[in-house]
Amino acid sequence: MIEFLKIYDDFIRAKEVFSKNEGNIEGLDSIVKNMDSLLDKNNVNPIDALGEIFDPKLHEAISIINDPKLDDNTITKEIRKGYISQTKVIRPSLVEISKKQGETLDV
Amino acid sequence: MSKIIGIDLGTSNSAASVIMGGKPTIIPAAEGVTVGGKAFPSVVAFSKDGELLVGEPARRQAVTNPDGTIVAAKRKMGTDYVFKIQDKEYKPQQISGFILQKIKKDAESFIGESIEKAVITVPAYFDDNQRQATKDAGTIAGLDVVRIINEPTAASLAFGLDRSKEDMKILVFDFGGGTLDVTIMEMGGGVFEVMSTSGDTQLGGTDMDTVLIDYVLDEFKKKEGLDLSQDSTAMARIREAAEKAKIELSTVMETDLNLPFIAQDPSSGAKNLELRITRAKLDELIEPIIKRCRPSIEKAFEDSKLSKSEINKIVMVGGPTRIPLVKKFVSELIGKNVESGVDPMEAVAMGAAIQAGIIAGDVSSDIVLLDVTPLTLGIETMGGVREPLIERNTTIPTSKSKIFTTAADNQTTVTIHVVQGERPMANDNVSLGSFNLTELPPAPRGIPQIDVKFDIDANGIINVTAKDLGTQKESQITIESTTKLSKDEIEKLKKDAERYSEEDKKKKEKIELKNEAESFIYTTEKLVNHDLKDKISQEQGIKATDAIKEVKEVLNKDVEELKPKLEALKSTVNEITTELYKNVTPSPSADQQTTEGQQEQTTEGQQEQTTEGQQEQTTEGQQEQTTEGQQEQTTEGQNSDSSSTDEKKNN
Repeated sequence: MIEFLKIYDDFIRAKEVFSKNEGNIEGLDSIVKNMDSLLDKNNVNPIDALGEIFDPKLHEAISIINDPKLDDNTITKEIRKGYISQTKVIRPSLVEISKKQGETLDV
Repeated sequence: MSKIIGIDLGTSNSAASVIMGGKPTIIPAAEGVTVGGKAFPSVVAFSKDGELLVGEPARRQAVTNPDGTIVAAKRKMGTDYVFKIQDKEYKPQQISGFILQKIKKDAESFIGESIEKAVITVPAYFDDNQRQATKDAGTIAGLDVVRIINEPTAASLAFGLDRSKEDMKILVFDFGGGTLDVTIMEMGGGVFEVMSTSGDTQLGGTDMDTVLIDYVLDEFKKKEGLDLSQDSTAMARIREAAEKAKIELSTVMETDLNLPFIAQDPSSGAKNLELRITRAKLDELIEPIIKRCRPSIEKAFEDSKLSKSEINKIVMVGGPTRIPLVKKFVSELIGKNVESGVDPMEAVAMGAAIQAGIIAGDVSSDIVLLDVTPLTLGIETMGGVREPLIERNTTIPTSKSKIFTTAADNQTTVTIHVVQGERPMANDNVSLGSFNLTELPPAPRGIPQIDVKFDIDANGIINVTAKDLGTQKESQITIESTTKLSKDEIEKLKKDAERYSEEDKKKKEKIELKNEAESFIYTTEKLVNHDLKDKISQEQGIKATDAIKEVKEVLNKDVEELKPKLEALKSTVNEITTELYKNVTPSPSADQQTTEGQQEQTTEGQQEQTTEGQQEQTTEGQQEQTTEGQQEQTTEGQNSDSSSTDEKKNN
């Protein structure tokens, strides 16, 4: 499943790139839709990340930014989408999170 | 009997295994398979709201909560180090306890029954204290640790080496994510004995991933002119792909890295990363890292005093040893093929499960795995010299005793200072404790006989007893894990030992010569002033006294100064005694045989003295012999090496 998810990710990327370039993404869109339904049939669902509060059971943090306006540990960027099947994490989301103040700046 | 699980409690990753259907099976972590295989990271964390996280979730949040995350707690086992998190303090064994707790829980849900007992592996260089701390961690986790075994021993069990009928020498090459441990062991009669350990704490598979990632970045930059190293999304994808390529290249000769839309070039649009990596290329990249393993291997051979051709089996442990070039490097260096058939990442946990299975009766085996003392135990003797009693690698339980004596006339107290380590001077080793044996009856130096006995039970607890054989009075100390040695300290002690070995030798030589000189002065003074007072001329007396004075003046000086003066004193005394015997007419009834016999014995005694550097002791032995005629005792002692008469200064 993890290997399939990598290819699925590539299709999503392709879709994003083509839509930015105003290319025709209809065909691509229908491939992605088919894949979505396949994942759904197998009970594999994407993990919500962007804007959520970081949860180490679902997400993996790989970088931190400072943003005093956001609550600590708010996910500001989804670097790689994560997937879950019922309660089992197939792949955690790779994310960037925010801190009111940089941990490393603490004295 | 209920199941006993085997646990590989690692520095960076931990794994557990259990015998199922007669075979060791890895217990999967509840989070499922990760890049680390079925093992999980040995990471413990406390979130801001105080929630305990162990394994994968703890690793995933490490960058967000560095102050609340603990990695590599194993390196602190057996020390007084305290982890301070959110105003709470945790001992290293507590942290390891949390990891073991998780393993217990995972094992129970996998096996479907309650798990109460475990076998845990530790590095071969772990001392009593670190082993005890590991047992304590088990207790904290609610596990009865039925046995602690060495990691290289566990790996050898996984490869089935214990089933060999013949004695063999095994090289265990444990190359993990971040550390290298090389162990040379001897297996015979059901006992695995560590002959030497060596390693590098700054070398591992992570270094290989880094060079491969750098290569991919370089190639992309060359082709597209873009630097991806600052793009976190691209880096996450490259890291994952490089790791996969590295693993694939262990079985295939080439693999393709295809990462579409890796970057967006403002002028030319989307960029794809397409790169074919051959095994030859990977080999070229990682060869410098593999070559860095060589000094550790050479060091292990140097310490074990074995030649490479004496090795019968090579056991590989750790993910990076799957790489063909690593296998080739080790097998070519030793001149023998490496063992195969067991996943090197699972070998230690599986070996622990086999040992657990033997104890539980799930596996039949003739082998009796015995614990050994990791470092030499001894006591401090005159001049601060360490006298070993139980050598390292002695299987426990064990017991050994030696006879010691006093250093001064009318000495009524002796202090027994117990030390652990490999250095010749007591102070350079780790002190385990000391105690006094008091109320000795006043006697000339060298006369009292004090039997010092070391007893180590199956749990590694050391009992030291000192008994005055004259009065039967005794005193003792029990040492239960009071040492404060960490791996770092052991490493430091080891490095110190190397660095200072020459210095130590000189220091020891100096003290031994001083001890010899003091003893000789004592004997000569006694001879001149008492025993032979009326039998030597005044001139001879003055000559001897002057020579004594000269030796006394340089007693604390270097060997170079003391040695000639001592030699001069010896030859003066020899002249006097030779003269003395010239004037003696043998009585007709004297038995020439006896004299010869004594001479022979004395010579033997002196030889041993010189070899062991225990001159004073044997000189006293001679005194004892001559004056009290305890020939039998002294001879016996010399033969059994159990009655050396080192001395303990009264404080």
